[in-house]
Amino acid sequence: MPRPFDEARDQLERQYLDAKFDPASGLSREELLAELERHRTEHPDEPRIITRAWLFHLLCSKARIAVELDDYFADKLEHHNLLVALREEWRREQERKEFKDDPPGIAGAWTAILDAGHTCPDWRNLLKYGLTGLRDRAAARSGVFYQAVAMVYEGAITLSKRFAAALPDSALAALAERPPQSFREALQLAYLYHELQEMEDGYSVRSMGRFDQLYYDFYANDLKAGRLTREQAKELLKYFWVKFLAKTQGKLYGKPFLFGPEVNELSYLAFEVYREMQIVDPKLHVRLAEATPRDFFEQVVGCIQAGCSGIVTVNDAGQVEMLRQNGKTPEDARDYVLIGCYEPAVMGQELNCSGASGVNLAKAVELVLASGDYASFDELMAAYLSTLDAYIALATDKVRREERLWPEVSPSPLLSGTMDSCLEQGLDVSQAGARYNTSGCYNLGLANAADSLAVIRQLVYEQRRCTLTELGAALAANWQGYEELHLTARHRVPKWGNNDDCVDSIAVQITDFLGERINNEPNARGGVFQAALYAIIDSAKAFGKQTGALPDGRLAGEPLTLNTGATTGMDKNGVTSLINSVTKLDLSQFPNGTVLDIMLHPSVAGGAGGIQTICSIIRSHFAQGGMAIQFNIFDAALLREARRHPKKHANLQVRVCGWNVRFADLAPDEQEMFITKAEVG
Amino acid sequence: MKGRLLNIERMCVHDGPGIRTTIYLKGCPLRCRWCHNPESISSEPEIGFSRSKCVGCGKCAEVCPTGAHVFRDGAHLLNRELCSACGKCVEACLPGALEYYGREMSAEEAGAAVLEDRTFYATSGGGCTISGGEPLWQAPFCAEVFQLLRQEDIHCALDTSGAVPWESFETVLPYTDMFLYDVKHTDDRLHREHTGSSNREVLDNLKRLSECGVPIEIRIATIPGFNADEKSMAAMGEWLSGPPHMVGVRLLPYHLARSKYETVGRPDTMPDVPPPDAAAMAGAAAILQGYGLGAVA
Repeated sequence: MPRPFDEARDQLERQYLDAKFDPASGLSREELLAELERHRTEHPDEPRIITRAWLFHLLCSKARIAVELDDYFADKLEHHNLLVALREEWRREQERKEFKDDPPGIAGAWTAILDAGHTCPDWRNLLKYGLTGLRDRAAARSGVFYQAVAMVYEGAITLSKRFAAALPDSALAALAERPPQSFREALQLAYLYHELQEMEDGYSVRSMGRFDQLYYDFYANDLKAGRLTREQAKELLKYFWVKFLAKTQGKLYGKPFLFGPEVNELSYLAFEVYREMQIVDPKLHVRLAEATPRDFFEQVVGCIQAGCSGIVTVNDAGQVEMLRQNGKTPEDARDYVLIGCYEPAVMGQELNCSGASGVNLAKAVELVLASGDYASFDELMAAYLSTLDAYIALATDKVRREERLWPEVSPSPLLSGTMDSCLEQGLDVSQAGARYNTSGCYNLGLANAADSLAVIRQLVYEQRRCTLTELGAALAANWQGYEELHLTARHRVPKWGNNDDCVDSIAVQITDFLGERINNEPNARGGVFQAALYAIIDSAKAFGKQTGALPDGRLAGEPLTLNTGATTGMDKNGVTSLINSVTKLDLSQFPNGTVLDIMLHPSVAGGAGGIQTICSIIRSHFAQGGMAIQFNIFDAALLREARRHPKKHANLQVRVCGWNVRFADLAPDEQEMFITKAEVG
Repeated sequence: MKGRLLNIERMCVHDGPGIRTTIYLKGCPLRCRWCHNPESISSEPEIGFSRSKCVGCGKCAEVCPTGAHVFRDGAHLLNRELCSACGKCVEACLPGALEYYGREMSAEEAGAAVLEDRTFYATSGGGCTISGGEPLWQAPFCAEVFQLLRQEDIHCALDTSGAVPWESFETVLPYTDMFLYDVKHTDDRLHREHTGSSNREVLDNLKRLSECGVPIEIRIATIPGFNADEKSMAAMGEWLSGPPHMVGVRLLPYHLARSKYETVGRPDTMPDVPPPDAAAMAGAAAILQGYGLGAVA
């Protein structure tokens, strides 16, 4: 019987770092690789999906395992990422062939990749059929695809038996025979599947599904039958959730669990647990609707107030309507989860590939300025939009070519085996077997672009404060020697996020263009592209490095603005004006997701009144058409103190658009960004 | 009609119920030693100068028509006797070291600014608060703003020191949903000593206002060495337990704002005492609660 969670916590948080794989339990990396080589030599013409399934099965049955007596769940298989290595080998081979004659693009203007990570397996089927049921329904059909699916699930069953033999009292003994019947078995199956999907496809930010809908019956039946107490359920959930934190160590994008809009006793229990644990992973997404009970809403907000920044709240009515308008059936639209950070997709039925492509809205300003003179602002704006148009054409075209390579690079029989549509058609997800096959195109640096264009309009075309050439020279010099113009650009021209139509109207013009241009652009999988408006910190930094100085006053190389927010320190009118600006955009044009980050000072957000204040901010944002919102609550003084004494404030969490982390784990420049933001708020 | 404003602050949660937009008006009859908004005292427009933000560029001196900005030995001096508060220097000051206090705004403009955040009032039970300074020095302006907002169903609260003729209350009463009313001391001598005025008008107006049926929240700035002691609190508790329609008493802790005095070139009158701690505030609240008042600290 494992120890109480609180006693075991430190050890549990290090469980993957400290995992000891028993050499007697299986083969070494070299031995596994030798077996793979032998297999590939003996089967030179084997379909790739079979090779992957074969390797999957090999790892499950022969790689080393580690079991801990002090855990409720077994999960550790030393697979050495061999499936991912194989995929990368195939990817390099295919991309070399496909892209070798492509001219070099403009660095930092756009990106396009094969994104097989962003999706959500059909957890409902997994829990309903179990490993055996998913194996059997594939094994009943003939064909390469079904053979591969049956093989990976047979592998998973073999692995379950190995764990069960090594660990007395494991739920896996039962799961090797039948679907889960208890809360503990359901969680064990979910986590084992989670580990196996990472083995198959690498670290990816796939949704863990609608937690309170998926697991309630298991929980309620256990309680009713007297097999489980509420307290025991909380312990199980803590042992389950801590694995996500142990995996990321708080430094990677975490796996989201979804709650609501209908809630049950398990929803309340889960947030109670989350608040007690004070962890940065997993992330919790909450769908809020009219029907969501007020006490649950307040419990969620209480968690946010208490510093659990891994919570994103979502406008349920808005999301469902947006999904419906983008080709989902009403029933599927209601069954959405959020993939990755905030990208809506139908649970278990959609390969939304939300990170497939991205466009740097700020870089286009730089390019337009460098490439000509314009008689009027309208002319310049037209040139700007046509530059975006060209970037989007290049990015989406590259994605289509990548998608055509997908079946030869990364078939995923484990994932496909959960999805009804794949089973019905006999197609892997890489062959567009899922019911919905969409591709994302996210857009970065909205505030930089809108603010820069507003500066050009006002200073060059309206006030004639400088010419376009002079402005170009200032940017080329990274504003050095142009201090007066720099200050004028920064402080004498309205900035995005202050509810000022001068600049907000430009942002509206840009986003309307993006929605019109990107949505419904066909991809290569029978689906369409979907626009997104977010910039996670990694991409804001990476694209920022490749973007020169901008008219908004930003210096060369600085990170781009995050998500839909204002440039750091520029939303001087406060939260209400920021929301009023952002909701001028028609956010339903971004079916691949948007989010707004809000920073609040404890004097506004603290106490019982603070909960009501945060609830009102959320309600107001949604009432005006906002789709998702997330919070940071602290003041600059606390952050400075935490920077000086990281150990004393090891648990201080911040939300960095997309993921939340311990403040102490941030890079110095990221810490500084938060302090600046907190000072203005 | 135009009002003279200090500023408009959004997302206020301590100036009445819910999320509110607070309009700060300029000018006040009192001279409370602890005033934390010294830029609101004078009813005339003035220039705020934050020395720490000045980069010494001299643009202000270039545009100043009266020669009020002087640079001597690298030091930037603002001669307020010469300053006509035309605001040209504020326009020219790109680093933001100079600020204009007292811009004029029409009631329509102020009302429109408030209405921008109406969704937030609706979801929080909030609205608009006019504060100051002493807003009732500009009572007709307050009345006009409130009249516009009431047509839009916006909750209107007025934050007053009460140190104004009763007629000013009559001007705003028909359009005001709630008063936030400052009480400082029941002892007239101490009141004069620390605020420069008698408390007679303040208390008389409060008694009269309490009979008008509009909810009143009492606010007591809690100042150690002036009114934070047991006796003063008890005296206020006893006085306040009389009149009807009091919806509560809110104790506001004294806090330091010395740098603001320098910004507007006023002699610093802040009492030389540390702000009361949470225990002292809770103690003061407990005394008031003893008189049946719903006091919070």
